[in-house]
Amino acid sequence: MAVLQPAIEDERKARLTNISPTIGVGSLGCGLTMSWTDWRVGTEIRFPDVPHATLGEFVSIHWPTDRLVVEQGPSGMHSRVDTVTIFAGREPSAPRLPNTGVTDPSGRGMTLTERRSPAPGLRERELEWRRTHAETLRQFENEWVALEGEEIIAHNRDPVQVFEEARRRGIRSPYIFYVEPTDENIVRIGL
Amino acid sequence: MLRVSNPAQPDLSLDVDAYLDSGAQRSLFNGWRAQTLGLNLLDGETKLYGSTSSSYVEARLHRVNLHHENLGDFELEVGFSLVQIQRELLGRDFFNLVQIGFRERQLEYYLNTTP
Repeated sequence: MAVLQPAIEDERKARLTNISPTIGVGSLGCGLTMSWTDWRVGTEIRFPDVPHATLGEFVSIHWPTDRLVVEQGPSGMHSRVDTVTIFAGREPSAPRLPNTGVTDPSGRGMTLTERRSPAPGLRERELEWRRTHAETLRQFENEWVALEGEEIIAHNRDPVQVFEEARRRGIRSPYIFYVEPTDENIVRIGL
Repeated sequence: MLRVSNPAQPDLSLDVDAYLDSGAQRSLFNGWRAQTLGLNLLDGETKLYGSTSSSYVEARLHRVNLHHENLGDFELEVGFSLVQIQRELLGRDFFNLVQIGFRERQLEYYLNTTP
């Protein structure tokens, strides 16, 4: 097995053909632009001029003709998969991607990351509400607040009381945060 | 945004808005959160968290489950402070589990599961 592993790695490296090491939002490298935002399994993305490739440790992407289909999400992830690492292990039979000329120096392929909103997924509503209701929250400065959707469930200087009230209201996993005083002369650091 | 739960009592969980802090060697949460998760705060190993002002925050280490909607589930030993802190920190122990990038000018950050 120890002997086999380097051979596998060598073969993988040999498959790294002319993939641009471009890393960043919306860019696949290879002169192609990624403009979609939906990485859910089964998503189809029209992608002309690229007949075939199977990439990925976390997400398997396959485009048999002119479509690109997200076939498999990474384990442990849920319906929203918006950060994807694609390893540039192309199938040997795959034609060269167009507009390429740079070999991936890392040997690991490229990381593609979708533009993220500041508050994706969990507690998105609550975070959006906090952003848009900063003035409302000022009355709770130096207190802990439990927010559920757009409703303030409880507020108190004692966070345990806030937690207990939220649980009493049937919230299984309360979102409780501290409202820091606003002062433009204060610069915040971790500790 | 993370959902933090007690591995021994997964039904006890909290949603925590924690700050990414590459200057912190370890993650630090409020001690009251440990108590509400059913953990006995003082049972954990003691750690002192040194601040930039030479003061220390005493904490106790407890292993918790962290769930991020896009990244999945992690287990992490987190320090829970004995004094109240105003913001919870995800330190380099969390960074060790994921890959993180910042584009401050665009107010964006990026996460994936490649450590």
